[in-house]
Amino acid sequence: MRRFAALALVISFVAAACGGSTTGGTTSDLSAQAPGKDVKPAAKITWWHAMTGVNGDALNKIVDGFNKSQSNIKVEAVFQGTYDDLLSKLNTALSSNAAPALVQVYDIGQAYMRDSSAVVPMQAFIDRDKFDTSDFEPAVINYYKYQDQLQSMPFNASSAILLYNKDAFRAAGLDPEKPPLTFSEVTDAAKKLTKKDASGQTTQYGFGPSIYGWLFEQLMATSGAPYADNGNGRDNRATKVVYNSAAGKAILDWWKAGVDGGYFLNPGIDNAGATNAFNAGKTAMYIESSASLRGSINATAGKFQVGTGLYPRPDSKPTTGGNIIGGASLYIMKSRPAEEQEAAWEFVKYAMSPAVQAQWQSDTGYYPIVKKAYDEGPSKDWSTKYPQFLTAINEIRNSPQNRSTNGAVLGVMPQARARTQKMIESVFLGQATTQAALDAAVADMNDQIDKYNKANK
Amino acid sequence: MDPKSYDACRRYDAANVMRWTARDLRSLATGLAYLAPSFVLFAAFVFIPLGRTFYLSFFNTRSTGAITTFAGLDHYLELVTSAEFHAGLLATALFVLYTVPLGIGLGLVLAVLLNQRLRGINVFRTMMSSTIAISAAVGSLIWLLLFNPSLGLLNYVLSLAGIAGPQWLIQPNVAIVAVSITTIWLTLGTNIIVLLAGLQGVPEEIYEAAHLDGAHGATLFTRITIPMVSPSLFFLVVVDTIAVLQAFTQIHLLTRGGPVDATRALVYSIYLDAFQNFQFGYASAQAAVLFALVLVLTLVQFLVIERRVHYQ
Repeated sequence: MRRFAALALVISFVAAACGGSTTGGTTSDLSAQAPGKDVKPAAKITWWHAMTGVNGDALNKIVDGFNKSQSNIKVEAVFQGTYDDLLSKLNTALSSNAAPALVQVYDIGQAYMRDSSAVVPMQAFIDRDKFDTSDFEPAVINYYKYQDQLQSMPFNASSAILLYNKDAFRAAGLDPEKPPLTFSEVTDAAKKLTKKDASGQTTQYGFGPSIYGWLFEQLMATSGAPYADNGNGRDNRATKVVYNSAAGKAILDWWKAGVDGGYFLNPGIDNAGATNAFNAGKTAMYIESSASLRGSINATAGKFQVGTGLYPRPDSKPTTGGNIIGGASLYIMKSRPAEEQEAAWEFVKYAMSPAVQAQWQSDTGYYPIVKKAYDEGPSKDWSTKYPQFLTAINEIRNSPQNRSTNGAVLGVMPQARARTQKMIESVFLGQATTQAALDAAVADMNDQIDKYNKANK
Repeated sequence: MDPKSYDACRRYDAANVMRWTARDLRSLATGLAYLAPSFVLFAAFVFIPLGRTFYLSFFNTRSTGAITTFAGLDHYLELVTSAEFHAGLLATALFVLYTVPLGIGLGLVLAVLLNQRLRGINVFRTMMSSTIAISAAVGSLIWLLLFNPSLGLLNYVLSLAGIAGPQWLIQPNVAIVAVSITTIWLTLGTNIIVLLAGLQGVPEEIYEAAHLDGAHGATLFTRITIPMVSPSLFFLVVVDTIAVLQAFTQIHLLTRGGPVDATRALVYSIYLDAFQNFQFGYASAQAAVLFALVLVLTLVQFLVIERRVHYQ
C-alpha cells in the first residue's frame, strides 16, 4: 500500500511537471492575478502607444470615443515614438516606477514583456470575467498566446503581402490579375518588368523589397521552416535560432540573384524608401505590411492601379507554409495600482468591441481582431472600396496554423531582426556567401540568446 | 588664502599650515555657497551619471538595467576582441577625419567670402549660416531624401551630367561619406558664424600695416588672417571634434549604424548595446572608452595645437 502511494505521488509529480512545461488546454485559471471584481476603476489612466500619422489619428478617435462613452474613466493617449523607442522608454520607466497602466508593444516584444514580469497577464482578466475570445481571428490570437495564455490583448494586426503595379504588368505583357506567387515566378516577372533607358540606366526595377528582418521572418514562415528551436520558442523558451537551414539559404540565394541580376532594387534598410520607390513607379512589385497598403493606394491614385498578391514562397509551395501576423498588442502593467489596472481593462474591452474594430479597420487598414466587426457598416464599405485588403485577411486565414506560421518568440527578437538585416547586407555586398552569412548571424544570435536566458531565468 | 600668507606659513610655521582663521573659513563658505547651484546641477546631470556609468561597466545587468553579477573587466576584455567594436572605432576615426577638417576649412572659405563689404551681404550671411537653425533630425531627413537611390535629387543631378551616382547609403565606404556630408552641412552654420565673428574682430590697421610692408593675397591670408582667427579655429577644432564623437541623430536616421557596421560610430554602438540589446554593462564599458577618448583627444589638442594659437 505504501509502495502504491509512493508511486502515485511520483506520477502526480511527473504529471505536474509536464503540465507546467508543455502546451495544451490544461492551463490553470489565472483570475487570481487580476484585481478583485469589486475594485473601482481609476478616474484616469495613461496609455503609451507608437501610432503616428493616419494611424495615430485613428487611435485618438478610439480614445475619444471611450472617454465620451462613459464618465468614470478618462484615458490619456501618449505617443512615444517608434515601437523600438517605446520599448526603450518602457524599460527605463520600469526601473523608476514611471510606467503607465497600459502600453502598446510590437509583436516581437512579446517574450521580452513576458520575461520582464512587469505585466498582469491579460489572461487573468479574461479568466476572471469569462471574457469571450472565441470570435477572435485565430491566427492573431495564436500569435500572442504562449502556452495557451494571453499575456496581452492583440490590438493592431496586419500581414505581409505582395504589392504590384497593375499598369506596369499590362505594359510588360503580364496578366495584371495574376500576380506571381513562387520565388521563380517573382524572378521571371521581375525580369520582364525591368526597364532600362538608352544609356543603360535602370528606370524601372521589377521588384524592390527593403532589407527588413521582418520580411525574412515571413519568408521563413512561407517556407514552412522554423526560425528558432523549441517550436519557434513557443513550446519552451528558445535556446537557439535555426534559420541557417536549407530554407534560409534558398531565400537569400533567390534574393541575392535578383539584386545581382539587376532586376531587384536594393533600397537598403529604409522601408519608407522601398515604399516611395514603388509609389513613384521605380519598382513594379515589392513586399510590405498590409498596413502600408492604404498609403500606397492614396499616393498612386490617378497614376496607376495597385494590385495585391499572396506573399512569395518557395517553388515547392510547402503546405506547412503560411504567414505570420504583424502588428502590436496591449499590456496592462503590474506596477500600477489595482484601480488603474481595472480601468485599463475596461478600455481594452471597449477597444475589442466589433463597432470600434470596424472603425479602426476603415481608418487604418489593420484588420479587425474580432470577426464580428466584418458585419459592421464601416467594415463592409471599406471592403467594397478597397478589395485589395481582402488579400491580407484571406492570406492569414488560409495559412495553416503551426509553429512556423505562429512566428518565433524570442527575448532577443528585436536584436535578431537587426542581425538578419546586417546578414542580408553582407550577402548583397559580397562580403560573405549566403551560407557563411547565415552561420555568422546564427552564431551571434545564439550567443545573445545564451546571455539573455542566463540574465532572465 | 592668498599666496603671500601661504608663503608666510611655509616659512615661519610649518606645523600650522592648515590653521585657518575664522575669516578664511567664512570666505570659503561664501565661495562654496556661490558654487553650490552649479555643483548640484553638475552632480545631478554629469558627475553622478558618469560615476554610475563607470560603476555599471563592471557589472552584468538584467534587461531592465538591474545589476545581477560582478563582471570585473569582462566587458572591457570583450571590447578588445569584438570585431563590431573595432569596426566602430574605425568608423569613428573616419567620421572625425572626414568631417572636422573639411567642415572647418569650408567654413573658413565661406566666412572669408562673407566678410566682404558688399551691398546686401547680410542676406548671404543669413542664408549661409541658416543651417544653425535646422535641427539635426530635420537636416538628416532632408539628406535621407536627397540620398534616396531611386528618387534622390542628388543622383538625378549627377545623371544629368551623365554620371551614375553611387548607392549612397548602401555601399559601406560611401555611407560613411554620406553621413559625413550631412554632418558637415549641419555644422557649417555654426562654423561660419564663429569664424565670421573672428574675422570681424581682426583690426583693419594690421592689414594696412601688412600692405605697407608689401604683403598681399595668399601671404596676407596665411600670415595675417589665419593667425588672427586661430583662437576661433582652435575653438572649433575642439568643439567640432567632441560634437562629432557624440553624433547620433544623423546616424540613427540615415543608416542605423549600417551597412554592416560601416557607420557604427561609438555613440551609436553604445545606443545599440544599451537600448536595443539591453546590455547596459557592456554599453557602459564603451561609454567609459568614449569618455577616455574624448578626454585624451581634447588634452592633445590643448597641448599640441594651442601652442600655435595666437591670442591678441
